Amino acid sequence: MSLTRTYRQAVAAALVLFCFAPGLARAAAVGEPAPDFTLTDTDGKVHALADLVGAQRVVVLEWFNPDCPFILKHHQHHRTMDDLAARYGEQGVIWLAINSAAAGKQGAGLERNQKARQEYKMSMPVLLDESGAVGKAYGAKTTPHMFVIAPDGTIAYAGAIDDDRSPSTLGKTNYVADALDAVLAGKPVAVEDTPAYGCSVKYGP
Amino acid sequence: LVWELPAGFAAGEPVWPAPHRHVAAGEILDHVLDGEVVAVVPLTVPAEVAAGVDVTLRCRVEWLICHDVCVPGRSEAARTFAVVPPEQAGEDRDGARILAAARARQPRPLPAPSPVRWRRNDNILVLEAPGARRLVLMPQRDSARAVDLLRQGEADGDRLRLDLRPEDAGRPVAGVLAVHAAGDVVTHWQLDIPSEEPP
Repeated sequence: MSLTRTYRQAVAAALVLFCFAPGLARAAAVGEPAPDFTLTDTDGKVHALADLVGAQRVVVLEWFNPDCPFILKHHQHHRTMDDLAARYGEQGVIWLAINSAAAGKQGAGLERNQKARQEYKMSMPVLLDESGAVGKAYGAKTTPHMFVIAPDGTIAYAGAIDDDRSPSTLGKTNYVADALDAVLAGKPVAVEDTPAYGCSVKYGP
Repeated sequence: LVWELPAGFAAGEPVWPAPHRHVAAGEILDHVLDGEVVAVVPLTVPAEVAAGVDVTLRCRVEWLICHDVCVPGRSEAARTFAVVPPEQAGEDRDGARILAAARARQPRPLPAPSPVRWRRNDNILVLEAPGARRLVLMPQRDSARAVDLLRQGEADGDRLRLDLRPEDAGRPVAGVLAVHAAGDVVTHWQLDIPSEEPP
């Protein structure tokens, strides 16, 4: 094959597939009360959102699946989630990971998630939501899909963790950190709603 | 795609084929590409490239393929071309065929007169493509957002009505409109509908 000065295009062929686009239905709306839930974590501890809201705690919910490449990005290749949980934990922020994968789906089940917490050295609990009821109440679509709940119990931020939608590199802006800074300072959140990116939550039929 | 190119060469942004709509369990709406996908990357060749030398183009490709689960992958491709004077350039029939097929699957800009009519006001967008049997709107990430794209993003017939989020009135609606006509003929148009108010 020859290449001339006028030959101006190359073709790259690749199998691709894609992350998760803008339109998400019935997502729990920012500004509205965060849907209440009571879920049990992998250590058997029960977490009731109502108790945390009653105590006026700021809460971060992270939709989680231990076998999703985007979760590996933020829990293994980088320490995004644990670093933020530690930094804002000092200011009283509660961080809960929630797995809404149905039984038998990728990343589901007590055993797999117990092991993942050790593998990824996770400080936050992983709450199991195999029925998917909590995930659907929030409109959680991807792992990760992030929600920040303000001390008044309303959703202050919903969406992506950061602005780099690849499974490898970190973004320049961490939306959750920015939202937490604003909420803790009693200020409005500048970017309160972004399209989440990641693997789809593995809901049951 | 990460390119490793000789001095003076530059690769542009890939142009992807039109996606299609996919709804997974839990009402997760996505716009996907499947099967074999060809993206066309414009490559700028420096004017001073000399005939008689070999040029090697290298590209590192990383991807993620999802079905029930997402699987990352990576690969490296390299190809060496001999630079020849224009009069000695042969025809690359296989390459031309791949390019033509890829371009046929890309969304096209709307011609004039436009086969698609639109009206946008009071946070409502109405699209009409006379004669269509089904319309599917797939907005880009930077587009003004729909209130409920899952339920309003596709419509039987030649008319699609979409409620837009009021806070996005200052953003254009940008994306791909698939127009399904009789006989399973689908045309993909690139839409760029101006904002309701100056941004």
